[in-house]
Amino acid sequence: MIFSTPLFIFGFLPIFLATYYVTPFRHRSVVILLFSYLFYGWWKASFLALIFGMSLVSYAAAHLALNASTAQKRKLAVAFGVSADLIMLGYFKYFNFFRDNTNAALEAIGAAPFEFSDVLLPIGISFHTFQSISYIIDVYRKDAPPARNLVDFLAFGSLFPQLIAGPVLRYKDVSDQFLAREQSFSIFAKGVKRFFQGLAMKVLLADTLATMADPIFAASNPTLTEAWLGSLAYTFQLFFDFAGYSAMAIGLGLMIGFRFIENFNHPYIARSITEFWKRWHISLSSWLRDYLYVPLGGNRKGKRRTYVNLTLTMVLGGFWHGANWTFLLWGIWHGGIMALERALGSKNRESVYPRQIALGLTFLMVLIGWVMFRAPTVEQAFALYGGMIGLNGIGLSDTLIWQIDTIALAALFVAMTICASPLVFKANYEARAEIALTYLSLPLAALSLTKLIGQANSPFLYFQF
Amino acid sequence: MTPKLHLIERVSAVILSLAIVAIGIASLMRTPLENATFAQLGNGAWQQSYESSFEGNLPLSDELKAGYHAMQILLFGQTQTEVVIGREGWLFSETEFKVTETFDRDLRNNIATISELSAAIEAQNIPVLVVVLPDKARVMSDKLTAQRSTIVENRYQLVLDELRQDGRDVLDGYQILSDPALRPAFLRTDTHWTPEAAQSVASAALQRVALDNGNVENLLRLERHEHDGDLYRLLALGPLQQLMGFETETVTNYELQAAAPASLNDLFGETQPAIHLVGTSYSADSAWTFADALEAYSGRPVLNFAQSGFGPLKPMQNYMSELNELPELPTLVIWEIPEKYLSLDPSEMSEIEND
Repeated sequence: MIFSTPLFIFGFLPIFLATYYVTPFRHRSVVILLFSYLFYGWWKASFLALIFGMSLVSYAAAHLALNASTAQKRKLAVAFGVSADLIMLGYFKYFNFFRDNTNAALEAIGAAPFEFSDVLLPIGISFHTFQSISYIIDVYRKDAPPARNLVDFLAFGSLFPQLIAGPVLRYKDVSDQFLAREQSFSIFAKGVKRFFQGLAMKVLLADTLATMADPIFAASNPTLTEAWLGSLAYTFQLFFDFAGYSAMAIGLGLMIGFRFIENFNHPYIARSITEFWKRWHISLSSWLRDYLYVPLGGNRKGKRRTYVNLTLTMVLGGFWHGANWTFLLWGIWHGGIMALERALGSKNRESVYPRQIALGLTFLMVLIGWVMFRAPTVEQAFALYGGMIGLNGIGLSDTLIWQIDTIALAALFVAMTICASPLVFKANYEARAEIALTYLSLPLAALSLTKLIGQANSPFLYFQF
Repeated sequence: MTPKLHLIERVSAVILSLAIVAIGIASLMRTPLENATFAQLGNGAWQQSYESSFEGNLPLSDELKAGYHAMQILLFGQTQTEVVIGREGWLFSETEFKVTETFDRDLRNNIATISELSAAIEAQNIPVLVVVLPDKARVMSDKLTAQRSTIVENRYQLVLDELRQDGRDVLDGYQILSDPALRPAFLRTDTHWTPEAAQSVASAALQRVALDNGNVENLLRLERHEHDGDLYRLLALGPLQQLMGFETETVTNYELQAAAPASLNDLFGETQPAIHLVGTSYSADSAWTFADALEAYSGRPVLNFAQSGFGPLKPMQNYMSELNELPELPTLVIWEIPEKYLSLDPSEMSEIEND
């Protein structure tokens, strides 16, 4: 099920909220669990067994990691739980990739390829895996208390507002909220406002920008104008799609009293890639820092090792996004730049780049990375890069000119204005934004719902991860 | 946050919640829960079906869609549907502007297919007249607000030239449909031609092959009726049509009268060999009277093998598979082909026609 569908908004959500609020608090975790499983199983009920199984294994592993009689057994429990989660992720997400690349290598040497069928990727498995792993490790480290019961943990693991596309929750951030959480009409109203803010970002901006980005990324030889238009359109499409989803998730959480962490903080005003990752998909970047970068040694083993750890963390983070060479290269791009910035002293400075060019340069580097991130193949990404430097001509081609419309261009302008507005309003931005969004809440909701009802299926981009 | 903002926040939440609950209840009540098997639940098939049904039962969905499209038109002069809005309420199909990366390849392949199929019929001593219909955007170009690309503008003549070079007998539809006396040759809110335009092309086609021995009087002109154009339906403006400046248009009804025999000998004499018509919705839909006009003007029976929803090639392929099983071969095959399909991959043609 997807948030931006009539069934979710007009069917699932009202029934869930009604059931939730008539249920005594002590049983609300059960309601959350049942509805979350209904939400997930709406896609394919057969995959509920996977989510349930992974949660069960992680719960058991964490329990053993805390309570086993010896340190060795506790460590083994962690290793087992984390390995089991990663094996599930690896099988469902990366089997096809490794099979195809192995077969390509076999065919290159004249050997027979492996004949294995495609493995279907369950939606949200990447997020679910990271949440499960963080639970096991946090309980082992005693950073987080264990879930008071299995139902709470299953509810946490399947919590529908964030199950499919984050924010990546850590149990320690919500554990106390399962015991007690503040719920009031005021908080509920904030949740409604946030939800529809996210819906507007997704339906009005992201989906409209997609109509420009998609045909350009499908073109084999985009011109300079097309390549830049397409990459700009995708840059903002991805932000409004993903940040919109996060806003909806946060809004849904608020409707039932949960406070989730913010996942975005005006990422396109970052002045370095290092800063960008403190503003973009914050829940993921902090997860990677705490569960990958730090265990690898972080910055504790010398400069060279720090750079390696940074790059490796980002490469694995890239690969987490998808089983494609494009994501690996995207990770290398960001990791390499972060390592370079660290070498230039990013740890002790606001930005390693001259103030006058820091923002523009960072935005350019991010945009270049998004081209690789979005392209279906590495070759297609380089076709777009070639277009960006004018290798395929300058103006709009016959193939694309009829597909680029005023509405999409207007959406691009609005998107860029919104993203740049913190630079204009600076200190007053948050307050002004809050006022504007409050007044616009109803019209934006009406407009979004109107468009939603009239348009076809609009899946979230981060659904594929 | 000020108390005023708090109040607005809460009032908005109440209004939205009530609206969502009301709409949700209405749609849920209209959407029955069908029985499901474990397999259907397991693979999501039941869920997809229920969801589609739920969306179809949403109250006010047509009105909301109309409102959204109206807003797009007011703000941007266009929508993001497959309809291109021209001047004075004229609507055009996006297909007539479409350029794909395989434009040239598809165009040449489709022209070659037309030649091959025509030649195969002609090999059975049945003449084939290919009637190429120009785009509405070509004939009514003064109603466009956006230029079409050069490659599209050059398409029509290239089709005529290539087919003639292959030895095909081709009727230039543009020459007839661009005649000022016939204007407008196309309907304002529909992709199709007017009945009068179809009749002019029928007349020209029969004159070309010297089969115009019929009686124009046999096609009776009746009353006009309101017509809901296919492009207008795609625009989905519903009750806002008039408000947005799209006046309802009317189309004349025609009726084919059976020709009275000239003498008693004709009454019991042999019927003349028929003309077979193959093509798209331009020929298949009797509202455009193309088949009836051919019959009236030729005085011969016209068997209509045209099909809507498949583009121009598939109906001919279907016709050829049936040809040898027909009780009688025709005296002529007329193949009506709108130019807009010819630069598409054949698999896309049916998608376009079914829009």
